Amino acid sequence: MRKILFIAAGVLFISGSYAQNIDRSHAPKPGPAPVIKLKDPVVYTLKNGIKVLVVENHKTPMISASYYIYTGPVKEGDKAGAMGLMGRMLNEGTQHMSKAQFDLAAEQDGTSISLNSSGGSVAALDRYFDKGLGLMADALRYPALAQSSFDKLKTQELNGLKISEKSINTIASNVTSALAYGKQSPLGEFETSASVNNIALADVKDYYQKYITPSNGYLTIIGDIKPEQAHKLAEKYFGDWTGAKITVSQIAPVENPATTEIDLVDVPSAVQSVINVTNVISLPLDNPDYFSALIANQILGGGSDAYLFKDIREKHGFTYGAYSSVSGGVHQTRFNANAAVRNAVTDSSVMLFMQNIKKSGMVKSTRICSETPKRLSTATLRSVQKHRPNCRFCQKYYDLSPA
Amino acid sequence: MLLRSKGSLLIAGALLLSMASSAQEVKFTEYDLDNGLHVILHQDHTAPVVAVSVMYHVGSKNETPGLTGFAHFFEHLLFEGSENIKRGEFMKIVSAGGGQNNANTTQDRTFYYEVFPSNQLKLGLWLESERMMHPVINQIGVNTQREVVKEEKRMRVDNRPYGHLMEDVFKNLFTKHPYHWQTIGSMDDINRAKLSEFQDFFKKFYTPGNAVLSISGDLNIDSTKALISSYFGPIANGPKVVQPSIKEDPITHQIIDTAYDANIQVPALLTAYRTPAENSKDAVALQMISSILSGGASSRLYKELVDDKKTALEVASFNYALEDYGAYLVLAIPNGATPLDSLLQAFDTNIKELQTNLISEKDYQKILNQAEMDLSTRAIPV
Repeated sequence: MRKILFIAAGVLFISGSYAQNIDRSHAPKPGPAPVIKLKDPVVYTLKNGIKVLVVENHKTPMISASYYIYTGPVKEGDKAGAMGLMGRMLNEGTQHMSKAQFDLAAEQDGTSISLNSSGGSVAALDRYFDKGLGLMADALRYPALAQSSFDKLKTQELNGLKISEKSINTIASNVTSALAYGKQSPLGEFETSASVNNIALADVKDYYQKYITPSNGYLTIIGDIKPEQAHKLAEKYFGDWTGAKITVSQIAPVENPATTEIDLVDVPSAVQSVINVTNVISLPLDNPDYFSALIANQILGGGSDAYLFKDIREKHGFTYGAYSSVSGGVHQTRFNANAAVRNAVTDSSVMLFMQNIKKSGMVKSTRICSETPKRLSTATLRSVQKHRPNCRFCQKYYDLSPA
Repeated sequence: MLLRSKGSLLIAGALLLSMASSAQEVKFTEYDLDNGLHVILHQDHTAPVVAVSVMYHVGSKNETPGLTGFAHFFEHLLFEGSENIKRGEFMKIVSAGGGQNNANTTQDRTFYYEVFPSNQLKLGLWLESERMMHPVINQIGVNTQREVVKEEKRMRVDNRPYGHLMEDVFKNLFTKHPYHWQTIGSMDDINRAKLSEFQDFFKKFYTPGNAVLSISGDLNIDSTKALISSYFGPIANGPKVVQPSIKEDPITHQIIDTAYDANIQVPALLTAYRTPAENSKDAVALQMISSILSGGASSRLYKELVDDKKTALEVASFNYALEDYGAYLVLAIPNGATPLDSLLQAFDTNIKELQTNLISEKDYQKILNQAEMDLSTRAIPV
């Protein structure tokens, strides 16, 4: 009897994972929405003002950390490229170790460290994290800033500029920002061989003093570590650091051209044209239109189901991809729609961009409602809850209850 | 590739998995359906998402000369719809379901995937089984995607600085084997491809027995198995796919070639060796050699050429490992007026050193640490 029960149970079990009849003619309905659980980071503030954020993730035996300094856009003027060079100089050894010693100390452990003009990052296996964080702190606090390294990097920078000189993407990106914001704005200036030639080691040292500091600093530690332990390490390596106070500079807002302007750059070697359709926008996160703008952009050019992709690629076959982007911030940002198209259809593609932008401006709200998912992404949802808890537009179209 | 991608091509493959597997184990369930479809399931509840993917054992090495680029072109056509999915609906269904998707093609295989919230597992299975069972490929799709693929080639290859480098290397390393040509193919061949040929290609290569379905994420193994039988079980298998078996003759003398590129101002020097297949032990050794030669600023070539002698702007070496053969590449971009000969000499001296002397115990520990770190980093996403 017992044996028979076992066999019956076995049969049941097998049939449990057997094929069921399904209806193929329609997309299957989703199951109940899963719950997204995101824990808030543990936050500490050091005496020098550095905010330490810790997120535990014990999936693999590694820990990563990043130090980020919010400097805001920095105007470099006729020395464009100086901030970037300063950031690269932080990877050139410290007052305690030559570059070769520093690189080997990290890489021997499989640790990766990189520094730039707004901080740096480190990733290491658990057993080497203490040492790795110490190395990153040493590079930030006591960089060698030697003349020989500066000469090497400056030559590399000048040669690197030559490599991208004929890249239509680089040209388009530089020219578009300069036209939109003006070359006088830190948002519109770009690096050239002339501006790099103007940079001296003293400029790098000056930028280092001003911008690599505990002021406006955020140390984020993520991985296989307890918050108390992370806090202790942050104190150990950053606790007694002092430096200049950062004041984020104001940037005068710029106006868009009164009528649509077309600017052309001839690149004879190119087999495609890069098209950017852009304008400058002021869209701080608390602007009542912030989320409407993100959603309108999603419909216009947010992906392969959006107007631009469906029309310029899927209907006309003019491009590999056409997209648009919009973002908000403290300073002015840009709306930008972009595609690379074969030369012969450049003008037709510009027409299609303009038509689709016009069309997206006339989208009725019912259409948004039926065509976009009813749930916002978790990140967006948290942002709405924090910045726009009473946003009527969002409440109308989205389920804003905590996921 | 069907859409632009934000990440870069990860050349360091699954080889490193075997090196540090003692420290970190990846659990999975693996079996075959009666129709030959190979299934791999991996459970991971870290985030409520699920990735559904199908890999077909077909790539540009299965193409015939005169129809290069065909396998990749075909990948684009499998987004055109099916008997139950109207043309243009595929992408809409994915994004309305809160998902993302893409596909890519190499010399050896074609890969399709969707990532969905985990309550949409069925939707992913339906989309992939529709694609395998009865896709609709028609003339309008062929005409449109032909132009899209040509734009992809212009953007990713023809207009990109050094974009033709791999093409120039592979046509010299391989003379008989289809690795001779690139996955993107030639403009002439892309123009030549016909609808009927695509339909034949589907019948020949897109069979369950020539595919691997792998699903990972927030799922239940038993109920997922049942769903897989429902969606994929009814698909009939086709004739067994015969993979090309083409032996190259040994390269007996050095080949020197110069290629020109209208997009660049600064030359690049590259040396290439034909190497063993990706699943050989040697391929793992070559991977380790890349760490020694150019993995990080303390590696031998980087330290010597970029930091000490300052003769190179950039130096890289890696094993481009494929199913039948590999290509080991060492390349550098000179800094300023550095003669290319001096870079070549440095490559040769360093390779000779590796051929003659063992690496130190310390170097060996460094490689192991780097491999463990690499695995830890890659094990975090679903």
